[in-house]
Amino acid sequence: MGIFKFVLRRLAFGLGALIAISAAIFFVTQGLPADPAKTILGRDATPENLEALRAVLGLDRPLLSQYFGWLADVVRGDFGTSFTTQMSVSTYLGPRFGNSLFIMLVGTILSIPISLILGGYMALKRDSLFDTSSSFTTLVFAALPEFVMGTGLIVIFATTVFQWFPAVVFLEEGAAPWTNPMGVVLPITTLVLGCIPYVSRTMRASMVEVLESDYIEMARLKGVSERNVLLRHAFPNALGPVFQVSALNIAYLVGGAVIVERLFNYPGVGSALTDAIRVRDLPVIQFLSLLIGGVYVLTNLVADVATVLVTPRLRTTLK
Amino acid sequence: MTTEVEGVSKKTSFVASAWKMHRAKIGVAITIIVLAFALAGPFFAPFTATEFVDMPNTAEVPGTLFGTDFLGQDVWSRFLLGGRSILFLGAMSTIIGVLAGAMLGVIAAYIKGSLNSVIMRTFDIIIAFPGILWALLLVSMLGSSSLLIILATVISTVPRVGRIIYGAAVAVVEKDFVSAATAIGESRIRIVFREVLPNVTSTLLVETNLRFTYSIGGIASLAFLGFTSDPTGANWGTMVQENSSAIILQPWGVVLPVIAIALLTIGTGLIGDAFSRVSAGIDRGRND
Amino acid sequence: MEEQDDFIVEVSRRNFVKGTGALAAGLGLAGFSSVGAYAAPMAPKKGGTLKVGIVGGTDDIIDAQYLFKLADVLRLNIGWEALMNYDDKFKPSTEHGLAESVEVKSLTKYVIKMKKGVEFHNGKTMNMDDVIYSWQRMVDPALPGTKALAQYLSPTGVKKIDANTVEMNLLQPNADWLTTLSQYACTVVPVGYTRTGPQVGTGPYKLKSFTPGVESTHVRHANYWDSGKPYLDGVRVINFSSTDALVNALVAGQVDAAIGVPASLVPVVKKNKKLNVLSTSAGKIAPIVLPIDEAPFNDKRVRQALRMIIDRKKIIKQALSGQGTVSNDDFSPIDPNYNANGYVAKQDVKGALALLKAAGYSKEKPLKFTLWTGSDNFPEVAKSFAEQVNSLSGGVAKIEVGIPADFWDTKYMAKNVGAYTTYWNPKPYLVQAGQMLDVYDETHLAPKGTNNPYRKWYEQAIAEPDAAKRRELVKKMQAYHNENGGYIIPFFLNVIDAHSTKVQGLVQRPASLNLDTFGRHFKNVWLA
Repeated sequence: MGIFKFVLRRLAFGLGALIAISAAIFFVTQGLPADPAKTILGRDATPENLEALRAVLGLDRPLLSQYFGWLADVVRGDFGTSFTTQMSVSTYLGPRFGNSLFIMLVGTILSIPISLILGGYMALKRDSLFDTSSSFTTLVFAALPEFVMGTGLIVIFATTVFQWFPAVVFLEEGAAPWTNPMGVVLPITTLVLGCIPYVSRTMRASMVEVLESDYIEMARLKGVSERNVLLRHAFPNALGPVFQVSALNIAYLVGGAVIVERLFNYPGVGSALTDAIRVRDLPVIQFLSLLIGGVYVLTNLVADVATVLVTPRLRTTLK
Repeated sequence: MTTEVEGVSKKTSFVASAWKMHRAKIGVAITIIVLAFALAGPFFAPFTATEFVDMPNTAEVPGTLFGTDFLGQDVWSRFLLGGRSILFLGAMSTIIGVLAGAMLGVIAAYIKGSLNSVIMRTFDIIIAFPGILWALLLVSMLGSSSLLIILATVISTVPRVGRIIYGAAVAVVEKDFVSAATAIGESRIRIVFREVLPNVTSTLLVETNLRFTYSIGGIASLAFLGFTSDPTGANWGTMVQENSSAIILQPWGVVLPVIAIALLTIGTGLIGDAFSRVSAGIDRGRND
Repeated sequence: MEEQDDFIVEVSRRNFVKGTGALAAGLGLAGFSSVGAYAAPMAPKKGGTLKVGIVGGTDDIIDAQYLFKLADVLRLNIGWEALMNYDDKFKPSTEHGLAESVEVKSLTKYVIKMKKGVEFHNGKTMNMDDVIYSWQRMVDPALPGTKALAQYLSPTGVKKIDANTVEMNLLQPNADWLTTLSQYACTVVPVGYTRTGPQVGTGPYKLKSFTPGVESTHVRHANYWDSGKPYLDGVRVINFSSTDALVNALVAGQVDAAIGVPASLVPVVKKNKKLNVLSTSAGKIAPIVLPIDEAPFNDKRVRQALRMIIDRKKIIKQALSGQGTVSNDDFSPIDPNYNANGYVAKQDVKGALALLKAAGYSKEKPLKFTLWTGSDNFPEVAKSFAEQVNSLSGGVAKIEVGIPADFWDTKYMAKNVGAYTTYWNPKPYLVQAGQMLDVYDETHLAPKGTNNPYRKWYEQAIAEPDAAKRRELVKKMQAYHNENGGYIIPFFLNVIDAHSTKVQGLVQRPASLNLDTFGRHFKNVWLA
């Protein structure tokens, strides 16, 4: 099977999964008795206010026609209008998407090299004090929920012990997140600390396996310098599983971002989603679930292709 | 959890070799300490969970160990009372999730064809969306009763366990003795339970532990976002949320539950790590 | 007709006083302590942008005359002005309003002279057509939330008299109409204004940008009618997802002022020497609602027992960290007729237990119900109330507290769900009673179409021109409410805000809106 066919097949599955997710979410959110109009109005939900708002929101149409109407619009590139902000979903979420992308990208860019080096070094110094203590530490961080880690960072670095960083992120409207470097330190740190354990531990395991393989043994016997053994032979071959885990981590970041953005009041898609769920802003929920599902499907695809490409054994089977 | 597998000699040695590792011992010790606080704590709480003790958010109140929380309630008492519900919900959702996931995984491995792909593709779809978001959607739409919190956690547990067990079971199914059993004429269900399940128990044990760790974290996170079944009762996750704003005045309301959740997840995480090292010979990555 | 004469005198005196400049400010401040480092008068400094933090979400809106949440109230007040305002003693006044004077011809006829030379943000001068359009829009049934107003004013109720005067003819008498004219949401908008069109008003700041759930920016209106004001170049309203995040931002210096600080966080703010707290009460209430026609509350003894058993001071201490004052289940302390009977709600646990026993409740067969509340609806009050009743009754009453995410959707004003909580901002007695009778019938005290005495007295009082006679009617209403009502109102909540000491011009005094009535559209505020 050619790599191209492989990619196509995975893409087709991804698309199908996205449609299934969107349908599931649509009927979960919309099929239930909860009334967005009542939620928006709160105490002002007098009958005449409700009627007026429902008409505005288009909630009087039947369920199936709402779903297919939405799907048809999406195909045309129109994601609808947010119930609550009355802005088009893409205008409303555009800047927030950029904001989330920023912390996730920086989180990934920081965590992956750190993890690879850490994991690789742990494998080299296997069973040393460094290895066992790092392995223990990463295990500890892996177990902690994000809000526990984030709250811990806030206590230590923002409020109680030191006051080095702000406890909440404060972004000027339309301003890019990097204009407030101090503000994004703690949210990004939380994400990075959440990622490093998994990637580094996978790297360590994978590297240990490679280092013990006959192939490395052979290279050493052939007299290849230790430096070359590591950099040219061991390291690249250990990367395969790491791609998989990194892809999972990007998906994890999307979920983690929900908690982190909420904790630090960061204006991203994660906080937009919790907000939208609170007020049952269906078009926003729908779009974000497509987006989050889409990111997941794509990163996994990229990881699979990358794994195939870096792993010589797999590369040949595909050809 | 060890009792479950006793009697199967191969598994006993599995647990025994895990126990040889330092991290297993440390993990068990930590977990037992937290479990002791959570389960026995309620008997030692000096106040009730809702009793008004003194002015809210006061760190030093005579007659209390750690002062008062956001509503003038005793932090120490609420800490002692706040572990049970998380543990209960975590344990319930792990048991249900792992059992259901294992069943579906084994069934999918044994029964080829359309049922297999229906199960596996459904797993893929559920996994294609972060677990916390499924839980959020469900709980915010339907309410946060204990049952729904369990269900929300189970939803993200089942496909992940299912996939792992599927992988393990497929290997077993292809081994000779299953085909031998089929040849003898044993019923399919019998084969699944008698032949396949016992052979994937070590994987199941690792999964159970891992899922318990994540379930605790997930349930605490939901509570942190404001979704609990009992809004007046004490709950470690809710405590963090309720008291985090006054952390400058009164850190204990946050620090105690954070330490407890951290220790609990670390403790079970260490045990799980020991299991998985024995089971796979190498470290495991994250698979959620 | 004494009351009306009084009022006209009041208006003209005020206008006169206003002419003399500094004196007006002096009078306004009398009797109230000023906060911060500006006890000695300083000359206001011009320039700078004030950053105001407030909890808000993507459901925030901007509309000159309509609102859902506190963030909407804030934005409305930055850009728009009503004909009148409450003055610092809660009397309707034209000092900060767009009217020059209001003459009460009768309880159905008002002649309103407008201020001259008021300019809108787009440069257009305000004329009487704008005033007429504004009131037409407010009683337009297509714009939700105007039903209470529409029963007094028809779309043709406002007529132009001359270039600066309109006449308002009501469909029925309303003794509190000047209060309506003072409602901050009864603003003047230019002809043709819509929520989706350009956001144009007369206020000291015009809207520059608005992203719901994130922030809005407002810049100085150069041709503002109150000369020399505003002092600031602009105001930025920044939204936070929770009060925790808001207080964090204030403490970290990321916002200059925080609107709506939870009582339990006041010590957090006070710990910081660079911050001031404004905590005052004008009579905001958070009642517990017992629908009087539903079991178990249809038994009067149950309602009385629940009122008698609680320790109100303790609830204030627990739920409000002491930031409140005791209420005797009555409302509207800003009204001259507040608690005219001098009723005192005394704690009497024994009496309450006797009532519960008489009503057939015991430890074996306790009084059980759920008290519903929303996370944005002072859940602490419900928790504290339930805790008190449960512990003091020794198991004879068992109240459960429920805080569902869809509280407003499924529990508030729903039938037969149990008790629930609500809240009301300070209003004069009859205005509040009218809201409860006609718009939000929470307790089912006097449903429409019934011959209930409370409703009857209300209708007489609102049409009664004589102040003394009106007081007698209000006294009867209050007595009836104390006896039969379904509200338990343990306290008046303080409205609490906080700001950095460099924010000047705000005064610690009772105000109907947050942040010293938002610094009167933020025109009194400056940055040191």
